Amino acid sequence: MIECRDVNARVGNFAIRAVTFVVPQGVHAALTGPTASGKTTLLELIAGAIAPRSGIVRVGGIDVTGRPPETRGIGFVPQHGYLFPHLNTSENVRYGARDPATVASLTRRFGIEHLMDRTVTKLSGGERQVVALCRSLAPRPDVVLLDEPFAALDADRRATVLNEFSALQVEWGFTVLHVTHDESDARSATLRLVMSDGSIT
Amino acid sequence: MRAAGHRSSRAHANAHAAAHAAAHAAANTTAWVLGALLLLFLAVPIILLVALGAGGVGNALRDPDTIAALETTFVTATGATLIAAICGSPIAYALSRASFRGRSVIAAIVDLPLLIPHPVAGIAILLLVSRDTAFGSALLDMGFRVVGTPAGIIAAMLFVSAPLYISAAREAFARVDRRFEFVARTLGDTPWAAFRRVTLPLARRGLASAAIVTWARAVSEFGAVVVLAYNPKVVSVLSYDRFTTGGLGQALPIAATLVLVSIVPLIALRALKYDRNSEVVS
Repeated sequence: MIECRDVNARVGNFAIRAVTFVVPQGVHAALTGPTASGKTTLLELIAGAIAPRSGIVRVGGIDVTGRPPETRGIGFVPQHGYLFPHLNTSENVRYGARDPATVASLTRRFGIEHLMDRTVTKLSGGERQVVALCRSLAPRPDVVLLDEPFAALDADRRATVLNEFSALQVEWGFTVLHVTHDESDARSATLRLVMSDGSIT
Repeated sequence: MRAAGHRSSRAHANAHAAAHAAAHAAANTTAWVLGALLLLFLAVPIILLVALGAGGVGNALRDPDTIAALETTFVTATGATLIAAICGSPIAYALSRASFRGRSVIAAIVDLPLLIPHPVAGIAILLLVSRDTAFGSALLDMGFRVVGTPAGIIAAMLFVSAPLYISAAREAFARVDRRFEFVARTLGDTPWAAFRRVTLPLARRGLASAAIVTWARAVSEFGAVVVLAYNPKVVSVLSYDRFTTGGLGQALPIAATLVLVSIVPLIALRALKYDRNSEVVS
């Protein structure tokens, strides 16, 4: 479960205003809205990169507002993946993993086994995003935050990855907040949040 | 009549444009000449020194005094660089990341040694470690002498070179996108673990080049060192000593040796820099 209650924040000239919403446990929510409406900022706030000025952020029913990111049980896939360039694919996916079996199953299911020994800077944009997705899932998070994770995938690959992701969500039961500009991505979600000018509308 | 006037005004405009272009070209040439003169002034004395002194380097390297001075210089410069890196990296990191209270005070303290003459820096350190201060007399009571020892040389080198390390390391850390650290945190890393596993490896080339600049600066330090420790002699002090006692001919081989020694790290630094430009960090 992800819950924001009357959250206000300011990053530079940019503000998040009185954001209140709940994504129930195990639900896949899409977060849409125009560019620069605060979607990425909201994800970073939930994940703990930014502290709100006021309001409460709860993850799995626990108030995490003042807590450091590593204790929130959140998997985060930033836009463009941000794979660690000094590590290879396998080291990236294993980075936060607790057991090798999870890593093996993720890489098999998302079809990236053949990339494991590769330098991540040599991967295609789409491959990087899938690797970043697997890396965020490897620690078995309770909540997964996705920032346009499938933008660089072609339509076929996108459908396969999204199907696999949805199947995994049913099995593991994590909650998803998914920033997207893609209408078909948004339709695959069971809850839809729209953001505009720093507020959920 | 009107057509003629039109033509003449166009001719006027053309002449104006040509004059403008000529002035521009002249300014350009002047700028190049001035820049080239400065470059020559920077490079020629050093080239001359190496060209004229190189023949004596072989002999200098058989002179026990020179060997001892080289050893002292390398050991103390390496010590100063290690201290600067170990104590300076946290400061550099903090300056590159957070905006916090006292940040500008720290930045000013770090810049301070760059602004004062090096002998003055030496005198200031001398004051600190003299038996007149509580700190200096405590050191002496513990049997730790600074003046006239390798410790004094390291102190002098550290004072003048640590600011270079901190400013270069700060740039190296600033080039690492903070989002990498944040992603590492969401994967379970504490701030220290994220620094060690992600930031440090991504900044390593910049940190290595910072250490090389620091080392080269420490090797070439004279003013602060000579105040704190005329003996044991570092290479710069030895070359000055030979110059005052035996003149240019005596000083030249040692000076050339020092230049050759300080050129090596600079070439290594350039190599690292070119490498880094092709590296993807974001």
